[in-house]
Amino acid sequence: MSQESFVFIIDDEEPVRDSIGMLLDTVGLAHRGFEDANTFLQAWRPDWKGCLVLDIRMPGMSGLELQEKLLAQGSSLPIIFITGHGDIPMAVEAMRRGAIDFIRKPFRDQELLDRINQAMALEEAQRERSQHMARARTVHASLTPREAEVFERVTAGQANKVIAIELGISERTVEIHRSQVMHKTHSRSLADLVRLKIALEAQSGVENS
Amino acid sequence: MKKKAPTDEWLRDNSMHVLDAVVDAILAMDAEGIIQYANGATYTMLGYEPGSLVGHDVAELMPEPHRSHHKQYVSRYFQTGKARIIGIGRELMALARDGRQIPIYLAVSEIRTPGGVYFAGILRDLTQQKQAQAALLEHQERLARVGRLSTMGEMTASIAHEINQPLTAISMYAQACLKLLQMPALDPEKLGTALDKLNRQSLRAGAIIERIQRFVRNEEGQRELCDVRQLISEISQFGQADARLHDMELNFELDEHLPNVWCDPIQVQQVALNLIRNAIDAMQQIGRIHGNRVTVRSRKVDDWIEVAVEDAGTGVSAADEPLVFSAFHTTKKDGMGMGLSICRSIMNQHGGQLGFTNNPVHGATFWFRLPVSEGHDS
Repeated sequence: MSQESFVFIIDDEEPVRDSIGMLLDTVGLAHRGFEDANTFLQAWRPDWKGCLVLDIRMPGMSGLELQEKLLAQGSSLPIIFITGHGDIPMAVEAMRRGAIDFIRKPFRDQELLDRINQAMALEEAQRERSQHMARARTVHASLTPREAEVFERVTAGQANKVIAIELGISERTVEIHRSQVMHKTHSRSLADLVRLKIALEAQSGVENS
Repeated sequence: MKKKAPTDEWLRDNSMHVLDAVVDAILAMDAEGIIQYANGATYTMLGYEPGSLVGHDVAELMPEPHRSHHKQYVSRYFQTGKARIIGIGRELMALARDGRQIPIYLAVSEIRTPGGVYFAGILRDLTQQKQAQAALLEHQERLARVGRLSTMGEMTASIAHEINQPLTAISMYAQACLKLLQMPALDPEKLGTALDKLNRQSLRAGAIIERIQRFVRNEEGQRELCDVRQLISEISQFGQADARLHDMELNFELDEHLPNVWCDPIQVQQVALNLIRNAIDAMQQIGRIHGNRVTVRSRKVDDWIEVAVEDAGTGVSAADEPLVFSAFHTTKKDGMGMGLSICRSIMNQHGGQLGFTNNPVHGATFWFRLPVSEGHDS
């Protein structure tokens, strides 16, 4: 993940893209412009970081359609919509689908910059969380079936003795599995294990929703 | 009551009274163009003392350039036998005694008598007819203007969007300039570029407003030789703005090599824009279920230039078909029903046509045709 963060400006109006780009230059934010939604979608890579400044109305694929397609492809790039007068219903719809905000043309520079910073921070946090989850998944996958069973029971609050009886193994063996689990998951305490369990549950919760 | 058939004798006695009672001016001239007789209406129409025209050259009643050329016209007629007016008749101007020019319809016929060749001229005063025509034209122009105003009114949101684009860019450039000015190391070149771009956007916004003004006012209101492709390209911006607002795609397939037409450019643009807006409305009404594409095509059909707007909208129902072009007939929720009726009157004034055909699958194609300007083919 050596990708730099970008503000991706998607607007069919060259002057709008150019002027926003110039503004971002003055505050040292890297940016890339796209003249339509399709071009952006073609170029998009899963490891892209940053946020989108997206015109809600464009010929061809609209901003809303792009938002939908990006979500379907698993992009978590936050989207700030640029709208015109009378686009409020569309903007509300965009918000409902997870856009972080919308601003009306013409807008003040600080309005835009604040939202971009907010979006970048949000994306950063989101990415950390998803990295954490990915780590949890890998760690969990590295456990043997028996270790996984022990992990489940430990984090459910069962004592070693109970686990031993339920699994029909010796308490000593349970202890060995348990220390393997601690080692493989880089956990130093039961609390660490519970945190991992919660992360995994949150994830399966997301997947099942 | 039994009427007595007029006899030659009666006619001989009363012909002068009959001629004087005729409302049209009647003149008789000899082969040299010298007036031999003029009836009462001639003197009234042209403002001369009764009887005072006899013995004068008829050319005195003509404005230039005909006045100087009249002798030539007559001698050419005698040499070649080819008539320009005699036996044909045409619209001309007559010169009254006080210098006023009066629009007339002139018919001249040759009278061969034993005593020589004479000519008879009948002048019908067209002043009232011309005034009525001008009034009608003015009325139609006003109506057309109301139509344009209403179109622009309906397009307010689209136009606002269109002007908002350069305004957004202007505002961004200006704010970038302020930021550049606050930087410790001022970069005049960057600043200059930004200001230059800002300026260009303000000119662009100005141009949009100017085009709207020109469209609504149509101050010239005159016919000129026009390239239809250029006319349509000029309104494509309005059309695109409207299409964009309604999530439609507006495509233009314009033939580049079309002959020119003689027309009032703004009025023709008005008709085209109306058809485009109707197409968008028709597709909007059914929630774009048959797609969101409107295509504007231009082509030559025989001696006509045709502009057709194809939509994928509701089409025209059999019930609406006879009423499509009638005033106050509308299928729109908030329509006045004046658009197509005004378009048709504009086309009629141009000697053109306005029509439609339902498409084989979905929607309709509305078209207008203008006659190719003779002798001006490009």
